[in-house]
Amino acid sequence: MQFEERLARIKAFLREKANSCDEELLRCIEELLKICQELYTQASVDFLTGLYNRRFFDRELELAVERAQRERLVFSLILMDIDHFKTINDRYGHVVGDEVLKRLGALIKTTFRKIDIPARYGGEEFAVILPGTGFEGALSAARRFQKRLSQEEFGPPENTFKVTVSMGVGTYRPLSKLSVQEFLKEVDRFLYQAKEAGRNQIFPSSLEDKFAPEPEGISLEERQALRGVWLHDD
Amino acid sequence: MMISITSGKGGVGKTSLAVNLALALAPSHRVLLVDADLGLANVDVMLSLAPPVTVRHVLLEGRPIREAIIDSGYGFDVLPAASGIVELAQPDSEMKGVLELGLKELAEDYDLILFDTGAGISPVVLWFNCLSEYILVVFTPEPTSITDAYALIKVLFRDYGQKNFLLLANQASEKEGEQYYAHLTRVINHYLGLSPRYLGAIPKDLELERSVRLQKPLLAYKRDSKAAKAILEIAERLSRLFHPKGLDDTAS
Repeated sequence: MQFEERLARIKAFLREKANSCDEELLRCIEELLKICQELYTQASVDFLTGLYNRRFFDRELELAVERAQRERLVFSLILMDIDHFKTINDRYGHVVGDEVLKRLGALIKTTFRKIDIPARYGGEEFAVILPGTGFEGALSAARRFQKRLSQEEFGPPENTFKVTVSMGVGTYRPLSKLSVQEFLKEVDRFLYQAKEAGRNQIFPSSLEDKFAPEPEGISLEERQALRGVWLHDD
Repeated sequence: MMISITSGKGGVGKTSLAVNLALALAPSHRVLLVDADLGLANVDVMLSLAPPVTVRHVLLEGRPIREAIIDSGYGFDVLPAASGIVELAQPDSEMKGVLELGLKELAEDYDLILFDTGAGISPVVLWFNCLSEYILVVFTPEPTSITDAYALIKVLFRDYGQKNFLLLANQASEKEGEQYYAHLTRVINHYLGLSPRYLGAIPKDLELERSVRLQKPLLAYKRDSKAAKAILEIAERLSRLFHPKGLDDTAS
């Protein structure tokens, strides 16, 4: 069961029993619950950027894949990596580097929708799960983020610089039956291709790119099965 | 409510079906028929209209979408496409944005917006299908049409998560339509895990061909022809789909 749900149940139970409970004990339990909540937040949120952390994200991605397979829904995943982050750190120092991460986190939060799940995935790597979103929708969200980022200035006022990211965009298709790891690997490969293409890129950048390496739309087996539609004799 | 009429393969009778369905639904609904083959207009030809403003003026010249809407003369409105405008064949994301906003605005004025999509599975066809709550897939009893209908459904489901498909057999007898539907839906169910609904069959009818040549909807030309009756029944089934029976009664 999800943490929030468990917490809500305990709270409801307490409210129900409130009258028959020792008041001081009740206050004590309530305090305990508050601490639990705080610890949970700390355990699921990356303190620097305010986005979800890797641990929380991994679990959400697992849930998203499970849900997609069970309910036959699509969802998309964007992986992004800050271009030349090491250079930024070397040139401007770690304080500025941290500031870049923080600002990027804030920009991700305001650019993507409330239902999306943004996380800091690694040192300078971010990930966003877009529930119920197909490839085209994810691609336009990625483009929107790229555009907004291009309007931002970073660093000290007298010496500002631009930050760019490379992005890999993948759509999970329930029929593919990919495992979480396989899907993550696929999108990670897209991110790598975006980097290779010379930074500040999104890959795949069109539906055609994405499906170029795919086999034909209908398998031979499906073709055979379809023959039954017009060859039936009843 | 937005419903797209689509088929994968061309020439299966999408446009005449769209025009007649719009007419059949018009008495009880405010209907807008959108010619979604943006660069190659057909709906206005079918209805013998000469629209002064089309979607071209909306997308290329920034005119408000409402200015392009024209009365069909049969109780429903039409948003006409342009004839032979290549830039509109594959609208870019900016044009799609304008169109989507416009359509959402229009959705407040109409009970029903029907998209008569172009043939094929080009991005713009997929886009219109994804805007719709229901996707009405028209097929004829031919291998090419069946295969294309299946391929279209597969792409829309696999890559866009669309699930609300309605199937309609055109140029098929009632029995033929049912048999084809039964087999096709079995394949769809087996490979995609979906069970699309069946709306019915429209038989071959010489009166329909005649009405097309006369540029008049069949329902206005010969309402008691075989095909016209089938279309009226299908319209009835369609409207029951979005007005679950007894809804009005239970509400009070």
